[in-house]
Amino acid sequence: MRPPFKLLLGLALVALQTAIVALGLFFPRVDATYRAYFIDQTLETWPGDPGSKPMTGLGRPLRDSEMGPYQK
Amino acid sequence: MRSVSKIIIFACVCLALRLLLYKLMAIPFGGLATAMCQYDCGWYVRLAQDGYGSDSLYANYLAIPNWAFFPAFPLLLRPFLALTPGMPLFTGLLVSNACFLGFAVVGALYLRATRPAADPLLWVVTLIIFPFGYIFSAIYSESLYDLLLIASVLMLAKRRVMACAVLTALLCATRPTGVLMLIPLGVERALYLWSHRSDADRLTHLGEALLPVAIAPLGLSLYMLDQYVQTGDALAFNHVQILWDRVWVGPYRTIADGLAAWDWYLVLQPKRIYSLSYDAAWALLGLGVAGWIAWRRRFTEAWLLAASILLPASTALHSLPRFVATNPFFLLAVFDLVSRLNGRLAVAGSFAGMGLLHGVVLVFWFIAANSVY
Repeated sequence: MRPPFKLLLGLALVALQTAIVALGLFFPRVDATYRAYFIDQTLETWPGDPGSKPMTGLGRPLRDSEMGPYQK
Repeated sequence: MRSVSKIIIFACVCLALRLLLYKLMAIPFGGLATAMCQYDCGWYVRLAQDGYGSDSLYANYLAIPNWAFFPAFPLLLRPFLALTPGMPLFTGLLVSNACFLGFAVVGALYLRATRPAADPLLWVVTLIIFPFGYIFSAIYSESLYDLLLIASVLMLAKRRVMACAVLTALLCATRPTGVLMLIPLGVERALYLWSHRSDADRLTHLGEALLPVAIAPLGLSLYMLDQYVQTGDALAFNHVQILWDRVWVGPYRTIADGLAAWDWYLVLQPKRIYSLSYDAAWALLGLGVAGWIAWRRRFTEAWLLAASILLPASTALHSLPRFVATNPFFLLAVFDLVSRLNGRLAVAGSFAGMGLLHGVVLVFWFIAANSVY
C-alpha cells in the first residue's frame, strides 16, 4: 500500500503554518529598533487611553517587560 | 471563437495606443514615468530596491516601516530594476503593464470558460477604456494581483486545483485580500471530499483535498515568518496599519460614518484630503454590484468582490475607490453590462463616455487628487 504522500505533505504544511501563526500570536519578539519607532509612534496615535500600550496579535497589550527602554 | 494569439495581439495594440495617449497627456506633468508615479508607487520602487525594515527615502533604519506592502510585487520588480539601473520608474511601468496584459488575456480565457458567448475583444476594450484602469499601468500591485486572482479562479473553474493552490499562494504574498481565495478553494475541496466519502481509499482523497488548501496560504505564512525574523512581530504588516489610521471598527461603522460626514465637496481637493462620503459611496456601489453578481449565481465572483470591500472597509475607507474599481469581478460586471447594450451605437456611446471620464481622472491622477486614490 502506497503511503499517502499528499496527505503527509499537507499535514506537514499545516503544522508549519500553524507554528508560524502561533509565533505571531503568542511569542512576539519585538526588537529594539522596531520598538523604538513603532511603539513610540503607536503610543502617540493609539486611539485608546493615554498611556495605553499597542496590542499584540492576540489583542493583549504589550507587557511592560516587552516595552524595554522605550516605555513612556 | 477568437484565438488566444489574436487576443494577445489585439490587447498589445490597444495598450500601446493607450500608453501613447498617456505619454502625450503627461507632457505638462513631467513625462509619463514621473506623472504615473503617485502615492504608493514610491513605496514599491524603494521596497524593490532596498527591501523591508528601512526606507531609503529616509536613509536610516528608524524610518517608516514598509511592511504593510506585501512582497510579491516588489520581488517581481527587483530583478528588472537591477537590470536597468537609473530608470526604475520606466522599468516599473513596463512590468506593471506586462502584468496588465496578462490580466487582460487570462481574463479573456476566463470569459471563454464562464461566458462562452462573450466577445473577448470587447472585454479587452472595456479594460483599456474603463475610467480607473490607469492604476493597472502605474507601479502598483493591482495588475499583478488581478492577473493572479483571475488565473486562480480560472484554474478552479477548470478543476486544476494544484495550479489554483500555487497561484493562490502567490496571491497571498501580493495583497492581504489574497487570503479570500482560500474560501472558494476550501469549499471546492470540501465538496470533493464529500463526493468521495464512500470511496475505499479515503486517505488518498483526504490528501487530494488537504494538500491544495495547505499550499494556498503559504505566501502569507512565509511573509509572516520573514517579518518575525526581521522584526520579532509576525503580524507587523497588520500592526503597522495604524500608521495609516486603520483601526478595526467594522465595515458598517466606517461606511455609515462616511456617509454621515457628507463631505462630497472634498472630492476635487488636492492630495490627502479624503472625502469619506465619496469613499463610502464606492463601497456601497461595489457591494451592490456584488449582490447583482450573486443574484446571477456567480457566487465565487460575488464573494471575491464583496469580501475585498468589506475587509479593508472594516478599518478605514480610504483607497476603497481603487479597491472596487480595479477588482476583476467588478470589471467583469461592467463588461457584462456593456455586453447587454443593444446595438453598436449604444456600445460605442458607452465607450466614448468611459473614455472621456478616463481622460479626466487620468489628469486628476497626474496631479494626485485624492478622489482617484
